[in-house]
Amino acid sequence: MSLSTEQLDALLHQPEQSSSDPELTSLRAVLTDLRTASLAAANHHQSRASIVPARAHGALWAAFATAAVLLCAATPLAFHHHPTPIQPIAAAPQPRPAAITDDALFADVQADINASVPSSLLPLTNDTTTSTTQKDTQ
Amino acid sequence: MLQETLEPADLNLLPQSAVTASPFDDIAGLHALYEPRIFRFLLLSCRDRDLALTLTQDTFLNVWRARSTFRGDCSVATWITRIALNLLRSHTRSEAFRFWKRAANSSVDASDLTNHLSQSGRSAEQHLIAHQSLAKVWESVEQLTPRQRTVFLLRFVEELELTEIAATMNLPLPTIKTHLYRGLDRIRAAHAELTPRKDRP
Repeated sequence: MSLSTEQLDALLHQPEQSSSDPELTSLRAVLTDLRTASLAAANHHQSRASIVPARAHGALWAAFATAAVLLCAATPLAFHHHPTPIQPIAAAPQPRPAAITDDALFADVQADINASVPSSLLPLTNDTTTSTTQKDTQ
Repeated sequence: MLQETLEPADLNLLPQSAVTASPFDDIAGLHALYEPRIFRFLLLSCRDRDLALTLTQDTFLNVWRARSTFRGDCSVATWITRIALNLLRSHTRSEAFRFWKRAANSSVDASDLTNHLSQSGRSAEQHLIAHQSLAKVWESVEQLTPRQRTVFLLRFVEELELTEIAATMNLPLPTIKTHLYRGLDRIRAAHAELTPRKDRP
């Protein structure tokens, strides 16, 4: 069964007045407890929240300090590492062309001039001409 | 004889501070005044401490950025709460929120609330009953629709007037009343499950 409009109005508008209705009195007492406990709980959570960041800052500093120590420990090791020197690749020795004297060069030119004409450059002979003529007449 | 210098009073001018006085001039004071309230509202709405802290910070950042748009048609508190509510809505709409809500380890559950229940003036038995009732009501608040929950929290935790809630949520007053009545009725039903039969009328 729902509360009547009068009962609800009494709850809303006369919160401090006592009522002859035990249910209404009981409900009013619970609502008062709810308010009191809510205020206390909110105060507690708010004060606790103001403490938590201090702890969080402490943890943050500890994390930074640990990271700094690890970094300091790792840095000398990094510098201590000597990489093996890279051997320069020796360039393959190029065969130097032999020095050609002017006399030798002149002798080669003369030899080329005096050489016989290659067979492929010889003028065509008459035998080929006659054979072709014979084929045409056939 | 002419005066060598003109005073502001001669030109019928108000001092500069009087002309541009705004509630946002002292943003640090504003932040100190409203931050606990905004954080509380966001924490109870989203039930996630980290998210509530982030949204609270974003709220005041948006307040500072949008301070020139404040027209004074509502109180500063209402205006700031409206900004917080809009941020909360846009955040909870995203699918990512649902995933992170499941995965979050900073969520606020019923035990968080019941642990802060005062025992003053109660016997051990009464304290135990109040403990159970509060846990039950807190669970039933989670079952409300987002609008019902917002109206409920603004009314019963922040103790805003219904007109202020209407201005904050940008809804008509009858709509606010409807959401509040429905939400309250569901909470009453959940609470009634724990109430002994002999106490019922």
